[in-house]
Amino acid sequence: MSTYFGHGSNAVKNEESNWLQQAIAGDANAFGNIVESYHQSVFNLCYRMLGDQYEAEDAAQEAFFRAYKSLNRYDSKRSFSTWLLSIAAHYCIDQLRKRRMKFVSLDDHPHREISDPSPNPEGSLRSREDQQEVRALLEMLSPTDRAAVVMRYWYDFSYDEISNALNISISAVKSRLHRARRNLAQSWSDKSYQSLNHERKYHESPAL
Amino acid sequence: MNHQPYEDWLLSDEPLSSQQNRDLKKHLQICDSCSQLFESWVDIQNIFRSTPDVQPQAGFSARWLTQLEERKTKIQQRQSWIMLLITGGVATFILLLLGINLVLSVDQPVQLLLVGSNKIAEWLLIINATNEILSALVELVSIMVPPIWWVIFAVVISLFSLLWIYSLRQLIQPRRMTI
Repeated sequence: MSTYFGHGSNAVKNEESNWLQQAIAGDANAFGNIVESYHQSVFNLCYRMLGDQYEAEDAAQEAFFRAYKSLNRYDSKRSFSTWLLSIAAHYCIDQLRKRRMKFVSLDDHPHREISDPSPNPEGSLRSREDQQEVRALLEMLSPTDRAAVVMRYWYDFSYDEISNALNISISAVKSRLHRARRNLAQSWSDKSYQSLNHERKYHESPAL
Repeated sequence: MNHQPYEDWLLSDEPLSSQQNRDLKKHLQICDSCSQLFESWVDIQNIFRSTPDVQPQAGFSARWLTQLEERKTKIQQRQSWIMLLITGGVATFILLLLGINLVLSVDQPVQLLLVGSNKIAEWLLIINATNEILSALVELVSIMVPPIWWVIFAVVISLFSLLWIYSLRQLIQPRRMTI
């Protein structure tokens, strides 16, 4: 779990504000600096939402295009990161809904493996397993619940920030998070029970 | 047994009161299902915490800028095509109307030639008459208007030209594209 926006010193904020002003005035390179600053957080949100590295790259790029296009509508009183991540989350929610409408089963569309630059094969395997576990857990949730969980547990968003980002009431955020937590815990519990049962059967089965 | 309040408490990420904490601990000792749910939720939180960030491929912002340029070019190309299609459509429509009008107004090819030459002669006469009227007007104005007014007129025209050049420059300067 990590936070991406804890480094907001005044100097950084001023620089970001300058880039935004320049971008609003039409300087694409200034917005390029914004992309450079936020690409990791936006990419990770898209990755947690979509569960695929390549789709996450496309979604993150699209989120930045949409943000650039609607810069004139950005309210500087709001946090820029919340606004940007909200655009990315909405885009991913739309993509997930479209994906569900296509009725493509997971077996027909296997996930591509995550490329890990780590030279340590053991560490790489562990990291891949962790990512797959998280992906499997998040896939159980509805798109909006997933977005709420990702914002809460990876970005440390408050209920208020999630409510603003997803355009839902604070009580809806609370109930969605509660439902998501229960679903996750229940599925994890069932999964642990199943694997325990499977292991027991394996050890008890007579040798052929 | 009513599990609801305990389930709510163990899944809550808001702080519990000391009484609630005590009740929850007591309940977890005797309730297997809530205890399992609690352990699972702790496991999940640990997995969330331990999962490392995924790194996008290097050069993300450079790719974004390249794609922005590509989108810009595509939009410009699309706009050019739309303009071309509109202009071509309008021109074709006018030509069609003229053609229909001409075909309806004549019955034979000889008559068509006659009508055509008559039209050309008419246009030449109109151009000639316009030329004569304009020459007479210029002569009259040059007699009536004193030279100082000509100077003022020239200055005003120059100022308008400068204004026009300035506004053109403002339009040509790079602006934020609308995707």
